[in-house]
Amino acid sequence: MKTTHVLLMAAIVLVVAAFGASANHIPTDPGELIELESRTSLLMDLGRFDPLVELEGRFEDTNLEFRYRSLTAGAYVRLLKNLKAGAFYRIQQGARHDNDWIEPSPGWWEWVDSRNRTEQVLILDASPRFLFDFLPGKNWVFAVKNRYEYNLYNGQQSLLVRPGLTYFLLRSREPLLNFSLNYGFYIPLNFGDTFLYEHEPYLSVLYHLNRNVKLELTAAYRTVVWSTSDDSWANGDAYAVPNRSFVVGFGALFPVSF
Amino acid sequence: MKTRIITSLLSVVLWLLVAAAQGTAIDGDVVYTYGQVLVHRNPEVVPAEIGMPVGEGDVIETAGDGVAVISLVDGAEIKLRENTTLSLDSLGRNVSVRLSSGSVFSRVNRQLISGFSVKTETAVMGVRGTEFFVAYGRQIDRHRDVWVCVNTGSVEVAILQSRDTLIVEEGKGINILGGTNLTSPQRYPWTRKLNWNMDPAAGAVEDRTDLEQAYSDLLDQDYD
Repeated sequence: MKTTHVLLMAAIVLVVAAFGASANHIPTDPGELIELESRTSLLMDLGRFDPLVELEGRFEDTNLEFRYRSLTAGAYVRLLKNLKAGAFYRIQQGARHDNDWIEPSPGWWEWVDSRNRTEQVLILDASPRFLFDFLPGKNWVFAVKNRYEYNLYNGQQSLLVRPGLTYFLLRSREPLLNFSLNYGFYIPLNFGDTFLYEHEPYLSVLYHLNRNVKLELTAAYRTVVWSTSDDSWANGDAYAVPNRSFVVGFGALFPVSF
Repeated sequence: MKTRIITSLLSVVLWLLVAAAQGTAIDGDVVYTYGQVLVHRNPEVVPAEIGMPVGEGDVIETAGDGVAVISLVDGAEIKLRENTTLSLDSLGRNVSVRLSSGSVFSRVNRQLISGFSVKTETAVMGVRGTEFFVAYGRQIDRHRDVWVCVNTGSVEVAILQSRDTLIVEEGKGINILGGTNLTSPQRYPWTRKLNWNMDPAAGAVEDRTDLEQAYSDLLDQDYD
């Protein structure tokens, strides 16, 4: 059943890729965009508990519109040496969902302007991490970020699974630079027509300016697959349109130890 | 009352005679022990006890559960943490002790002692102030790292091979990489948990700070 479903959606994607560009009632793939995102985080170290407050913003679409912004607060707790778990609350605006592709007037299709729509998201996180010191250079960590998200606005639930390998360049026994290569798989649990609604290879470099200031540069090649919206379904359409973009990110992180 | 004073005086005289007969100068005594603590005094090895005299040439050794505080008559106290071996190389007004393993806290009364130094296999820590901590760290290079933290006063660190020197000021610490490369002194958060107390009457003496905290835990370096 699941295989049939996946094959059906793959066929839809192929059909849309072939004919979608001319069908204005289906969201189009604008091509490979370059988008920007940034985050600022305050990370507190209270021993086993690590509270976190993070602001994030994204400049998206062809016009690099500042659409998505969020504030996340919560804490990680180190359950085991190799396992951290976290619980977070996020308030966000400007998020885009499948059902935001609407037909406000007959024959006119557009994305909802969600910049003023406030959503709340509950997040649970469990990330096992392992030292891969058998690799050359020894200072390697393999981690798998597993993150469950429940969006209170539309009830959507999703799971992020992101395996990644990080190399730490140390100076005087302290990290100076981190180089990470991750691959994020975003799995919709109760929405969408595809197994993955988003996936991305994700590179990051973190510069430890000092113990309390870290600067981050990231680059991702993001693929988001838009599935049939309610309005499109009512119109008799079915689609799964991939949108791809290069996303460059900047971050300023401020860890504080107590 | 008179009898008690005479008895005490006789005890001290007897103790002095015994110490002299053993060839040991009376330079200090053990004021606190916990767990297994041994005193190596050639050719004997005896368990340390509170009140036991120690002198030049003695080697104090603590086991994995051991803690000891040594008080030197000329005005210094030394607290040995677990798994520590400390040789009392020279005592008196110029004190020199040698740390072969583990870690020690030192408190020095500079008005009474003119010189106080802690030697490791690669460096010498000369006291200019009163209270500091020396510990062996991980062995990543040929020699082990050496940590020095200063609670009050300042400490001059000298590398034996290169003769490089550096002053570590109050409140700061330094990691001597591989025991030979000096780094910049800085305030290390983990040193805030060190227990500097050496007086059992004032509270717990044991210091259970996990010195592994001195190193970055790569498994805790998670920023998203």
